[in-house]
Amino acid sequence: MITVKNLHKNFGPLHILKGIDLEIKKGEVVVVIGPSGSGKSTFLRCLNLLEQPTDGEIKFEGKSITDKRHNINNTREKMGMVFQQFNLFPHKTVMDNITMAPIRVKKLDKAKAEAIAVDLLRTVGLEDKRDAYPSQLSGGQKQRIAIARALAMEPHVMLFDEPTSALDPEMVGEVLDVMKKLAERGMTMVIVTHEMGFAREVGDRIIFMDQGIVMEQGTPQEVFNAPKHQRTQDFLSKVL
Amino acid sequence: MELFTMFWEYRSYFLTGVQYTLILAAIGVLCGFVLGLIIALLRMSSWKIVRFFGHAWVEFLRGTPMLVQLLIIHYGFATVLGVSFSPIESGAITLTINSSAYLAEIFRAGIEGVDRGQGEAARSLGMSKGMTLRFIIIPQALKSVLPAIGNEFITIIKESSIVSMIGVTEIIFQSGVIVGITYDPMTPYLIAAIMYFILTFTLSRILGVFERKLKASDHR
Amino acid sequence: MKKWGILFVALLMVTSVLAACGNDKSNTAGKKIIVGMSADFPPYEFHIKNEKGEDEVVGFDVEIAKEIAKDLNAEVEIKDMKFESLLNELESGRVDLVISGLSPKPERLKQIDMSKIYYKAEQSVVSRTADKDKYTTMESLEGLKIGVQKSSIQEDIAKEIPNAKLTSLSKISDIVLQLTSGRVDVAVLEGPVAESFVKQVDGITITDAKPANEDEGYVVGVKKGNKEMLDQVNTTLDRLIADGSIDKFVAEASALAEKK
Repeated sequence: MITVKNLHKNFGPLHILKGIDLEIKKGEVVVVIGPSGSGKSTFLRCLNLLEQPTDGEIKFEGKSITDKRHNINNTREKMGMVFQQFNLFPHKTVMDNITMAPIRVKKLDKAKAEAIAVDLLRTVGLEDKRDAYPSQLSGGQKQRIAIARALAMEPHVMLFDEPTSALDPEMVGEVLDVMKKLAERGMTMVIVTHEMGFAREVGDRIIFMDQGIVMEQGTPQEVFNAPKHQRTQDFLSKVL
Repeated sequence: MELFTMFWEYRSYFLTGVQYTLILAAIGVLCGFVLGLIIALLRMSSWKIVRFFGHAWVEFLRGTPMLVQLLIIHYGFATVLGVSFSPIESGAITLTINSSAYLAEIFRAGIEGVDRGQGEAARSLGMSKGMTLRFIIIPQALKSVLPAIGNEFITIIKESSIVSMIGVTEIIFQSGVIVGITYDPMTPYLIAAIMYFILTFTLSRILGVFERKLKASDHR
Repeated sequence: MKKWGILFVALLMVTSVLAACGNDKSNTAGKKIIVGMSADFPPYEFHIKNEKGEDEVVGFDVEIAKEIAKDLNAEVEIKDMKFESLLNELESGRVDLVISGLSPKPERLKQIDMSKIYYKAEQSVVSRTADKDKYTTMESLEGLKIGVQKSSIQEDIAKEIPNAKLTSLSKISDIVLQLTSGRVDVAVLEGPVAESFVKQVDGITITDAKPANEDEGYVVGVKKGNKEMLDQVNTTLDRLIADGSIDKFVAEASALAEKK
């Protein structure tokens, strides 16, 4: 579904991504791990062009999205993103948060959008919060709403940027449960996370990034139990 | 002449003055608000020339005295361009464009103050730049700068006195007329000062009420 | 709800402005002559509150304006503004005539056309009462701080005084304030105007110093090139001079100015 060729990203003089080549297949759950500063978040944010690649090509469902003439808004409709800081719209209710993009971007009528929203709220277990404002929710609830908001656009792939890193430990579980459900339903997912247990349990492929390149990748079995590179072993020994 | 007696005797003059002062200040702020928002958006444009125009607008209008701007619009335009405004029109135009420059800066600060993640979330959902600005960024920016806009209104009420220079019959001009009639050079201006104070004080209290209401609705 | 409130207030403001603007351009079916004056110059032009309690600009020049308009079958509208702006307003066409104690300074001819002289006036030097005996001649004014009206003939007179330090202000009343508060030593004011102020304000008086009268007088200012208007104005002025109306107007206006 997503093809990444020779992806480079510079921030001024800093060369963060030094040539990434990757493929993400439909239905795959890809988990990206690695030390901070390795470029994992930058890589993820390049996938939906929140960061503009300095060099390289990214193809989504066969079309090149790094091509200058490409309309990125259309592509983003099909890619959902969940942020570490949730980024819910504080001046809108939960219902409005979820239905805003379907109504404005996909031009659905209000009733249809709300029906989809109610369904999603049920999936994440928060249907009673439809008229609440984000400031009235806990961190875990906010993130689950954020996931529902991204799902409302019926994306083909979901991108997660350290979705539980800003949560208190007791709330991490409820968010991971929702993500597990999504994976079981066959959603293509790319997840940047530090939750190794989750990665092992749910991931189809683990990608270990370090210093701007893909150091090692494989099934959870391969990467966690039999890491090939020294750097991978060092990292895993610190976090496991 | 005793303050109160003079005020009562010439109350019709002062009333006219207050009307013109308030109307001009209101126009200045309301039209300045709309214009200021436009200028703020121009400054965010992707075209360099448009951005430059926005910058120049703000820098020039904030960097020169409003009196000079007023004289250019009222007299300069008339003699050089043959475009002749009535005093009220010149006054309204000057207050509007001057206010728009300050408000554009206020809006810019407000827009930049909105968390980056908001824009990123909106765009990642497929919303265009314009949609994001319109539904996500600007509403939040406006909410945060409302107090500053209220302050601008209060400032403009006082600054509007400048249009007395071209003959608009607002508070200061009317006070001058009364000086001419009564030969009392002090009392009319004292009364004027008190009137300005009442106007600005009342307005700031009203604004305070609005701000508290706004805070309450923030569901903290 | 709040949105409607703001919209309503906005609409209210706009309509009030339009109404105010509408009043400014009064809807007379007939012709109108707009006359610019600096109405701080009793008895020539000054504000009073009339019996109806309304503000009105009256005076000697106002009567002349009314006569000119009458001969043209038109109504008069007086616009009060700063003296130094009058000629610009004439040029821009925002006023049709300037009748405001205007002296025929040669430089002014570059900007506007002028009628014949309709009244000759003298200039005075006004001082604080205590200083009356100090300033009896023009020579005694050397090196003094002198208050005058901006762009006026009195300003020109004061500029001729050696080493004088001038304070030029827009309003006569401001100049008088400078004198009474001790910021200037004397003020050079027009004759009847000085008399009017001296009668109304305590502590000032007209000195014996008399600026040389170089055939000055007052004229009516007309937009450059408007020969038709100029001829019409001169015709009216001839009439008023011939039948003694000018002197009558001066006397009436002076009395009116004193009434306060």
